[in-house]
Amino acid sequence: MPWLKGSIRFNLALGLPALVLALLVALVVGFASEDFLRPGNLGNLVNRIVPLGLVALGEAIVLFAGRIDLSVGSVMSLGTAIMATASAGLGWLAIPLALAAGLSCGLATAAGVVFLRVNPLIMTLATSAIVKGLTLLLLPSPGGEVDYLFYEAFFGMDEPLGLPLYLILAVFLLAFVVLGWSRFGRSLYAVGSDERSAYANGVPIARVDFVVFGLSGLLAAAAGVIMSIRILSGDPPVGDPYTLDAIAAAVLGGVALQGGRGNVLGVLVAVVALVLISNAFNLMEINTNVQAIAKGLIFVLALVFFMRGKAGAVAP
Amino acid sequence: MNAALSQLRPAGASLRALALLVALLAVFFIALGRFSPMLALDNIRQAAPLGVVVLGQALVLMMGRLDLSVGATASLANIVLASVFAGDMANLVPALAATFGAGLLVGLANGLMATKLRIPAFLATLASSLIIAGLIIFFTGGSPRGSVPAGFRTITEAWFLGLLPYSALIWLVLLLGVLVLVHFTMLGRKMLLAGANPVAARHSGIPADALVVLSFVLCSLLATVGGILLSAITGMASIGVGNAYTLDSIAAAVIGGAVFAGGVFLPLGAVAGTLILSFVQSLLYLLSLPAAAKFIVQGAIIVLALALANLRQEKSS
Repeated sequence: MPWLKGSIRFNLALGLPALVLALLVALVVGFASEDFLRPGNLGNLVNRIVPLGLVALGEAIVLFAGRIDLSVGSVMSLGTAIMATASAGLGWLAIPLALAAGLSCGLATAAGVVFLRVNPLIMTLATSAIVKGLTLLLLPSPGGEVDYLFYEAFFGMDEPLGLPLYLILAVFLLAFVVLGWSRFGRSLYAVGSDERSAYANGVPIARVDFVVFGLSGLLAAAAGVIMSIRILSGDPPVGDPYTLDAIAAAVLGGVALQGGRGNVLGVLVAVVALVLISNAFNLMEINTNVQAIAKGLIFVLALVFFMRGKAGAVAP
Repeated sequence: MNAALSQLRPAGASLRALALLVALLAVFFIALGRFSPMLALDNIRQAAPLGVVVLGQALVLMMGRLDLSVGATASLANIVLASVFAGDMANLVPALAATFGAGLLVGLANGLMATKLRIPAFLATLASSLIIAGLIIFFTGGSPRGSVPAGFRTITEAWFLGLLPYSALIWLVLLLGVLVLVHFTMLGRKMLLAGANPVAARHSGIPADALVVLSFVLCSLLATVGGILLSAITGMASIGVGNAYTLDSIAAAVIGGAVFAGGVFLPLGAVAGTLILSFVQSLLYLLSLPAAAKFIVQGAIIVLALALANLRQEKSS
């Protein structure tokens, strides 16, 4: 593949460990459990890959540019809350409403980073708090209602080859092409690799900030919409673990925390690997609290083995 | 002597935070409709647990790192303390030993992850907070047992000579402790230097990594003290009771003028920041705003404080 050369090939190779891990887990679980290959379980896998995949994609795009977004989980929760409160009255229009809210959260974060010069880490922590407050104002406790019609339309009969699978593949392919071959995509990697040089070469840093945080908010809200359709309600804390999961998926997929390295396809494979691991835990009927502990340890291991560059490069 | 005294002069950022606190107090009493110093003191009593946690966060910030696990550590202290105490004052020594032991382990783990494993501190501590939360639910099964005996609860419920709550006194003593550590001991001076410029510190023979570990251990121990004080207030074990301290402590430190690049230690600002947060919360309660408003106000305060600090910096440079 001569067109697949240079930095793109290099960045794709960073996702290879995640691919190996995903295949290994799939093999082990496939042999260990008869339930693994049942269409019901495969459909369930896809349904879990979609929200995490969308959040992780947004996080990865932010990381490519050398920023970090700790608000994705809260924005995702906001998405579920908007769906749960507005979909009864607005119907399908609740979806663009939730997406617009997510986009606004991202743009507000970017405004803080660009105009107020607040460190992205702290800015997204602040956005996260504000969004959490708004979510709780809208929906103080888990509840509300998302009509089953949404579920039927999106998830269908929970078969593996359905709309969710096509959606996530299409989104990732689009991101793969845009980030790899468009001027914007390359400028994003340039900012992540060396912001000063990028600026000196005429890359509009502010625009990159607005686009990456906007996309991250939009994708997190989309994950929230899909999550609310899956649980048929809204849930204020549902997105909380997704922030760490998204960063873990990105790191596992070969994305460097200091920016400029990694490929979205690696992230997709890492998402599949993480979902497979959690599915394996479920099939082995391991206590969910042990799973939470295991997830934290896996995250630390992923950071130790897959993180490129030194600590402190991403201060603080 | 003069040199030593000049070190005691509070920094501008601390003074600005104090001025903001005074203004907020005026607003608070106007909204209340009467002046009541006892109410203010009671607010300080309730702010003490967070205040102690913020001192630890300030130490880690001084090293140019961030600890996102202080809330989970305080929650862990609450669970361990109440379960070992089991409502009996006779268990005082084992309860305190187990609680501080747990805090020490968390701090060591955080510090070693941030230095030896070279994981960015905020991610390492985010992971450890997740693991601590999982461990708490795993070991308690979701319904924690035990309670803090009434005798121990005097540390937050009783007042020294009827004038000053004991918890405020503990806060003050710990504040003086870290102040003396950072400004008047060789160890503290080295920590400050290592936080300001780790490379230069290393070249000067200062063990920067070890000092980072030390700052995480001290931070976790102070978060543990915060959790103990909080347990004395609530008197019982409950899941995630201290979780809000993570964001609260960062907000308080930021209001107090903390700098994320490290090398700056503003204990007085940290105290003022804590009290500002506490009085804002009381004010929200007075105005009968929903609890969710707290998050929004907190996020807005963080952004505003940092934006103002940045604008000031740009003007002066």
